Amino acid sequence: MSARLEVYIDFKSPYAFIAKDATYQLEQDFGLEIDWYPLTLNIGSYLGTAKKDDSGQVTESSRSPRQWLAVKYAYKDARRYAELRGLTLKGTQKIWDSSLSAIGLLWAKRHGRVCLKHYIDDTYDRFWKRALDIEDSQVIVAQLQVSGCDAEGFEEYLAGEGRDDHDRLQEEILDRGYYGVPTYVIDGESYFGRQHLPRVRWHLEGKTGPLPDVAYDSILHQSSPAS
Amino acid sequence: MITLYINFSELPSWLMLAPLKDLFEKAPTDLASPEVIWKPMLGSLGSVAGSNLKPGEDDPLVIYRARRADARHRAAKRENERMCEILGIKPEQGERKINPLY
Repeated sequence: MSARLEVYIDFKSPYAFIAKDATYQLEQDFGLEIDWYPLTLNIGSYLGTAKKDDSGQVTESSRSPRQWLAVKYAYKDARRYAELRGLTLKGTQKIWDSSLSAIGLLWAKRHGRVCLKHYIDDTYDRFWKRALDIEDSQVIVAQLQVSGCDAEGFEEYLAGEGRDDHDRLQEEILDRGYYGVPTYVIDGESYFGRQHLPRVRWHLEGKTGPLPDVAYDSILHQSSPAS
Repeated sequence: MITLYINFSELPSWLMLAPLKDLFEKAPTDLASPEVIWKPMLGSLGSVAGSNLKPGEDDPLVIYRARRADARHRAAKRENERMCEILGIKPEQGERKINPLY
Protein backbone atom coordinates (compact mmCIF):
# COMPACT_ATOMS: atom_id res chain seq x y z
CA MET A 1 0.00 0.00 0.00
CA SER A 2 1.43 3.38 -0.99
CA ALA A 3 1.90 6.19 1.51
CA ARG A 4 -0.68 8.92 1.92
CA LEU A 5 0.59 12.37 1.04
CA GLU A 6 -1.36 15.51 1.90
CA VAL A 7 -0.35 18.74 0.18
CA TYR A 8 -1.61 22.16 1.27
CA ILE A 9 -1.62 24.98 -1.27
CA ASP A 10 -2.89 28.50 -1.85
CA PHE A 11 -3.34 29.87 -5.36
CA LYS A 12 -2.02 33.29 -4.34
CA SER A 13 1.30 31.89 -3.13
CA PRO A 14 4.11 32.13 -5.72
CA TYR A 15 6.05 29.49 -3.81
CA ALA A 16 3.21 26.99 -3.99
CA PHE A 17 2.89 27.76 -7.71
CA ILE A 18 6.52 27.01 -8.53
CA ALA A 19 6.42 23.86 -6.37
CA LYS A 20 3.42 22.43 -8.18
CA ASP A 21 5.10 20.46 -10.96
CA ALA A 22 7.77 18.99 -8.70
CA THR A 23 4.96 17.99 -6.35
CA TYR A 24 3.00 16.27 -9.11
CA GLN A 25 6.17 14.40 -9.97
CA LEU A 26 5.89 12.63 -6.61
CA GLU A 27 2.65 11.00 -7.77
CA GLN A 28 4.42 9.52 -10.76
CA ASP A 29 7.59 8.53 -8.96
CA PHE A 30 5.90 6.91 -5.96
CA GLY A 31 2.62 5.72 -7.46
CA LEU A 32 0.50 7.68 -5.02
CA GLU A 33 -2.43 10.06 -5.23
CA ILE A 34 -1.88 13.37 -3.51
CA ASP A 35 -4.66 14.56 -1.24
CA TRP A 36 -4.82 18.30 -2.00
CA TYR A 37 -6.10 20.82 0.54
CA PRO A 38 -6.49 24.58 0.35
CA LEU A 39 -4.67 26.57 3.02
CA THR A 40 -5.91 30.12 2.64
CA LEU A 41 -3.21 32.46 3.88
CA ASN A 42 -3.92 35.79 5.50
CA ILE A 43 -0.74 37.38 4.19
CA GLY A 44 -1.69 40.85 5.37
CA SER A 45 -1.67 39.65 8.97
CA TYR A 46 2.09 39.06 8.90
CA LEU A 47 3.48 40.93 5.90
CA GLY A 48 1.16 43.95 5.76
CA THR A 49 -1.01 44.91 2.81
CA ALA A 50 -0.44 46.97 -0.34
CA LYS A 51 -1.99 47.80 -3.69
CA LYS A 52 -0.35 48.76 -6.96
CA ASP A 53 -1.84 50.30 -10.10
CA ASP A 54 -1.28 49.02 -13.63
CA SER A 55 1.91 51.06 -13.93
CA GLY A 56 3.36 49.34 -10.86
CA GLN A 57 3.04 52.38 -8.61
CA VAL A 58 2.06 51.66 -5.01
CA THR A 59 -1.31 53.28 -4.30
CA GLU A 60 -1.92 51.89 -0.80
CA SER A 61 0.41 50.31 1.72
CA SER A 62 0.48 49.33 5.37
CA ARG A 63 3.88 47.67 5.04
CA SER A 64 7.02 48.61 6.89
CA PRO A 65 10.23 49.03 4.84
CA ARG A 66 11.45 45.67 6.14
CA GLN A 67 8.22 43.98 5.12
CA TRP A 68 8.63 45.47 1.63
CA LEU A 69 12.14 44.06 1.48
CA ALA A 70 10.88 40.63 2.50
CA VAL A 71 8.07 40.69 -0.07
CA LYS A 72 10.30 41.94 -2.89
CA TYR A 73 12.92 39.30 -2.13
CA ALA A 74 10.25 36.58 -2.06
CA TYR A 75 9.06 37.51 -5.55
CA LYS A 76 12.59 37.85 -6.90
CA ASP A 77 13.46 34.42 -5.56
CA ALA A 78 10.24 32.83 -6.85
CA ARG A 79 10.76 34.38 -10.29
CA ARG A 80 14.22 32.83 -10.62
CA TYR A 81 12.72 29.38 -10.31
CA ALA A 82 9.64 30.21 -12.38
CA GLU A 83 11.94 31.24 -15.23
CA LEU A 84 13.84 28.01 -14.85
CA ARG A 85 10.59 26.15 -15.45
CA GLY A 86 9.33 28.44 -18.21
CA LEU A 87 6.46 29.69 -16.04
CA THR A 88 5.02 33.21 -16.13
CA LEU A 89 4.95 34.76 -12.67
CA LYS A 90 3.74 38.35 -12.59
CA GLY A 91 3.70 39.98 -9.17
CA THR A 92 0.22 40.52 -7.83
CA GLN A 93 -1.15 44.07 -7.58
CA LYS A 94 -2.86 43.47 -4.24
CA ILE A 95 -3.28 40.76 -1.64
CA TRP A 96 -6.06 38.62 -2.96
CA ASP A 97 -8.72 36.83 -0.98
CA SER A 98 -8.19 33.37 -2.44
CA SER A 99 -10.93 31.66 -0.46
CA LEU A 100 -13.32 31.35 -3.45
CA SER A 101 -10.68 29.56 -5.49
CA ALA A 102 -9.96 27.41 -2.42
CA ILE A 103 -13.62 26.42 -2.21
CA GLY A 104 -13.43 25.71 -5.93
CA LEU A 105 -10.61 23.29 -5.16
CA LEU A 106 -12.77 21.51 -2.57
CA TRP A 107 -15.54 21.25 -5.17
CA ALA A 108 -13.14 20.00 -7.85
CA LYS A 109 -11.93 17.26 -5.48
CA ARG A 110 -15.45 15.87 -5.51
CA HIS A 111 -15.37 15.57 -9.28
CA GLY A 112 -12.38 13.37 -9.81
CA ARG A 113 -8.65 13.65 -10.18
CA VAL A 114 -8.58 14.68 -13.83
CA CYS A 115 -10.87 17.62 -13.18
CA LEU A 116 -8.95 18.52 -10.02
CA LYS A 117 -5.60 18.55 -11.81
CA HIS A 118 -6.95 20.70 -14.63
CA TYR A 119 -8.46 23.08 -12.10
CA ILE A 120 -5.22 23.42 -10.11
CA ASP A 121 -3.05 23.78 -13.21
CA ASP A 122 -5.23 26.26 -15.04
CA THR A 123 -6.08 28.38 -12.00
CA TYR A 124 -2.42 28.73 -11.07
CA ASP A 125 -1.34 29.37 -14.63
CA ARG A 126 -3.91 32.07 -15.36
CA PHE A 127 -3.75 33.72 -11.95
CA TRP A 128 -0.01 34.27 -12.20
CA LYS A 129 -0.44 35.72 -15.68
CA ARG A 130 -2.86 38.23 -14.08
CA ALA A 131 -5.60 36.75 -16.22
CA LEU A 132 -7.92 35.56 -13.46
CA ASP A 133 -9.99 37.42 -10.90
CA ILE A 134 -10.17 34.80 -8.18
CA GLU A 135 -12.47 36.97 -6.07
CA ASP A 136 -15.25 36.67 -8.67
CA SER A 137 -17.50 33.65 -8.12
CA GLN A 138 -18.48 33.58 -11.82
CA VAL A 139 -14.82 33.30 -12.72
CA ILE A 140 -14.46 30.31 -10.42
CA VAL A 141 -17.56 28.71 -11.96
CA ALA A 142 -15.99 29.19 -15.40
CA GLN A 143 -12.70 27.73 -14.15
CA LEU A 144 -14.48 24.62 -12.93
CA GLN A 145 -16.29 24.23 -16.25
CA VAL A 146 -13.12 24.70 -18.28
CA SER A 147 -11.50 22.07 -16.06
CA GLY A 148 -14.19 19.56 -16.90
CA CYS A 149 -16.01 19.74 -13.55
CA ASP A 150 -19.77 19.81 -13.37
CA ALA A 151 -20.37 23.27 -11.85
CA GLU A 152 -24.13 22.78 -11.39
CA GLY A 153 -24.86 23.72 -7.78
CA PHE A 154 -21.45 25.25 -7.13
CA GLU A 155 -22.79 28.69 -6.32
CA GLU A 156 -25.10 27.27 -3.65
CA TYR A 157 -22.16 25.26 -2.31
CA LEU A 158 -20.01 28.38 -2.30
CA ALA A 159 -22.52 30.30 -0.22
CA GLY A 160 -23.26 27.47 2.20
CA GLU A 161 -21.61 24.12 2.73
CA GLY A 162 -18.46 24.98 0.80
CA ARG A 163 -17.81 28.17 2.76
CA ASP A 164 -18.50 26.35 6.04
CA ASP A 165 -16.18 23.48 5.08
CA HIS A 166 -13.44 25.87 4.00
CA ASP A 167 -13.60 28.00 7.13
CA ARG A 168 -13.68 24.95 9.41
CA LEU A 169 -10.76 23.45 7.52
CA GLN A 170 -8.69 26.61 8.04
CA GLU A 171 -9.24 26.32 11.78
CA GLU A 172 -8.30 22.64 11.75
CA ILE A 173 -5.20 23.36 9.68
CA LEU A 174 -3.90 25.79 12.29
CA ASP A 175 -4.71 23.25 15.02
CA ARG A 176 -2.63 20.67 13.14
CA GLY A 177 0.27 23.11 13.12
CA TYR A 178 0.38 23.95 9.41
CA TYR A 179 0.76 27.63 8.64
CA GLY A 180 2.24 28.11 5.17
CA VAL A 181 2.29 26.68 1.66
CA PRO A 182 3.24 24.38 0.21
CA THR A 183 3.06 22.06 3.21
CA TYR A 184 3.57 18.34 2.74
CA VAL A 185 2.29 15.85 5.32
CA ILE A 186 3.15 12.15 5.46
CA ASP A 187 2.31 9.95 8.44
CA GLY A 188 1.58 13.08 10.49
CA GLU A 189 5.03 14.53 9.79
CA SER A 190 4.81 17.96 8.18
CA TYR A 191 7.30 19.68 5.91
CA PHE A 192 6.73 23.33 5.05
CA GLY A 193 8.23 24.65 1.86
CA ARG A 194 9.43 23.14 -1.39
CA GLN A 195 12.97 23.05 -0.04
CA HIS A 196 11.74 19.99 1.87
CA LEU A 197 10.97 18.01 -1.29
CA PRO A 198 14.18 15.95 -0.94
CA ARG A 199 13.03 15.05 2.59
CA VAL A 200 9.53 14.25 1.35
CA ARG A 201 11.12 11.88 -1.18
CA TRP A 202 13.31 10.38 1.53
CA HIS A 203 10.23 9.84 3.71
CA LEU A 204 8.27 8.28 0.85
CA GLU A 205 11.22 5.99 0.11
CA GLY A 206 10.93 4.58 3.63
CA LYS A 207 13.44 6.85 5.38
CA THR A 208 16.39 4.83 4.20
CA GLY A 209 19.74 6.48 4.73
CA PRO A 210 20.43 9.70 6.59
CA LEU A 211 17.91 12.53 6.72
CA PRO A 212 18.76 14.84 3.80
CA ASP A 213 19.30 18.55 4.34
CA VAL A 214 16.91 21.06 2.80
CA ALA A 215 17.51 21.79 -0.88
CA TYR A 216 15.45 22.81 -3.86
CA ASP A 217 14.34 19.76 -5.81
CA SER A 218 16.33 19.48 -9.01
CA ILE A 219 14.33 16.57 -10.43
CA LEU A 220 12.45 18.77 -12.87
CA HIS A 221 15.44 20.82 -13.91
CA GLN A 222 16.61 17.87 -15.96
CA SER A 223 13.45 17.85 -18.05
CA SER A 224 12.27 20.44 -20.54
CA PRO A 225 10.49 23.55 -19.25
CA ALA A 226 6.71 23.52 -18.86
CA SER A 227 4.81 24.62 -21.95
CA MET B 1 32.99 38.58 -4.92
CA ILE B 2 30.51 36.89 -2.63
CA THR B 3 29.05 38.10 0.65
CA LEU B 4 27.85 35.53 3.16
CA TYR B 5 25.55 36.54 6.01
CA ILE B 6 25.58 34.17 8.96
CA ASN B 7 24.27 33.94 12.50
CA PHE B 8 26.34 31.92 14.97
CA SER B 9 23.27 31.29 17.12
CA GLU B 10 21.23 29.62 14.36
CA LEU B 11 21.63 26.04 13.21
CA PRO B 12 21.03 26.75 9.48
CA SER B 13 24.26 28.79 9.39
CA TRP B 14 26.14 25.87 10.89
CA LEU B 15 24.49 23.37 8.55
CA MET B 16 25.48 25.53 5.60
CA LEU B 17 29.22 25.30 6.27
CA ALA B 18 29.91 21.78 5.00
CA PRO B 19 28.09 22.11 1.65
CA LEU B 20 29.54 25.60 1.23
CA LYS B 21 33.02 24.20 1.69
CA ASP B 22 32.29 21.54 -0.95
CA LEU B 23 30.98 24.19 -3.30
CA PHE B 24 34.02 26.39 -2.89
CA GLU B 25 36.35 23.47 -3.42
CA LYS B 26 34.66 22.83 -6.74
CA ALA B 27 34.72 26.54 -7.70
CA PRO B 28 37.64 26.62 -6.65
CA THR B 29 37.64 29.51 -4.17
CA ASP B 30 39.29 29.86 -0.80
CA LEU B 31 36.77 30.56 1.96
CA ALA B 32 39.37 32.80 3.59
CA SER B 33 39.98 34.77 0.40
CA PRO B 34 39.30 38.54 0.37
CA GLU B 35 36.80 37.75 -2.39
CA VAL B 36 34.61 36.09 0.25
CA ILE B 37 33.12 38.56 2.70
CA TRP B 38 31.59 37.21 5.89
CA LYS B 39 29.06 39.36 7.75
CA PRO B 40 26.85 38.76 10.78
CA MET B 41 23.10 38.90 10.25
CA LEU B 42 20.64 38.66 13.08
CA GLY B 43 17.40 39.39 11.21
CA SER B 44 15.08 36.85 9.63
CA LEU B 45 11.65 36.80 8.05
CA GLY B 46 10.21 36.02 11.46
CA SER B 47 11.58 39.27 12.80
CA VAL B 48 10.05 41.43 10.06
CA ALA B 49 6.65 39.76 10.04
CA GLY B 50 4.08 41.12 12.41
CA SER B 51 1.42 43.70 12.98
CA ASN B 52 1.74 47.30 11.82
CA LEU B 53 -1.09 48.53 14.03
CA LYS B 54 -0.61 51.79 15.85
CA PRO B 55 -0.72 51.70 19.66
CA GLY B 56 -4.28 51.57 20.89
CA GLU B 57 -5.73 50.29 17.61
CA ASP B 58 -7.89 47.16 17.81
CA ASP B 59 -6.45 44.18 15.99
CA PRO B 60 -9.23 42.19 14.30
CA LEU B 61 -6.73 39.45 13.50
CA VAL B 62 -5.33 39.03 16.98
CA ILE B 63 -6.66 35.48 17.39
CA TYR B 64 -5.59 34.37 13.91
CA ARG B 65 -2.16 35.91 14.41
CA ALA B 66 -1.65 34.14 17.72
CA ARG B 67 -2.83 30.78 16.38
CA ARG B 68 -0.61 31.05 13.31
CA ALA B 69 2.36 32.00 15.48
CA ASP B 70 1.71 28.95 17.63
CA ALA B 71 1.64 26.69 14.55
CA ARG B 72 4.85 28.31 13.30
CA HIS B 73 6.61 27.75 16.61
CA ARG B 74 5.60 24.09 16.68
CA ALA B 75 6.91 23.60 13.14
CA ALA B 76 10.13 25.44 14.02
CA LYS B 77 10.64 23.14 17.00
CA ARG B 78 10.27 20.09 14.78
CA GLU B 79 12.61 21.55 12.18
CA ASN B 80 15.12 22.25 14.91
CA GLU B 81 15.00 18.55 15.85
CA ARG B 82 15.66 17.58 12.23
CA MET B 83 18.63 19.93 11.97
CA CYS B 84 20.03 18.51 15.21
CA GLU B 85 19.69 15.01 13.73
CA ILE B 86 21.76 16.03 10.71
CA LEU B 87 24.37 17.77 12.88
CA GLY B 88 24.51 14.84 15.29
CA ILE B 89 23.65 16.89 18.37
CA LYS B 90 20.87 16.59 20.92
CA PRO B 91 17.70 18.69 20.41
CA GLU B 92 18.32 20.30 23.81
CA GLN B 93 21.65 21.55 22.50
CA GLY B 94 19.98 22.97 19.41
CA GLU B 95 17.36 24.73 21.50
CA ARG B 96 19.94 26.55 23.60
CA LYS B 97 19.47 30.28 23.42
CA ILE B 98 22.76 31.95 22.59
CA ASN B 99 23.28 35.67 22.32
CA PRO B 100 24.81 36.01 18.84
CA LEU B 101 26.14 39.48 19.61
CA TYR B 102 29.01 38.09 21.67
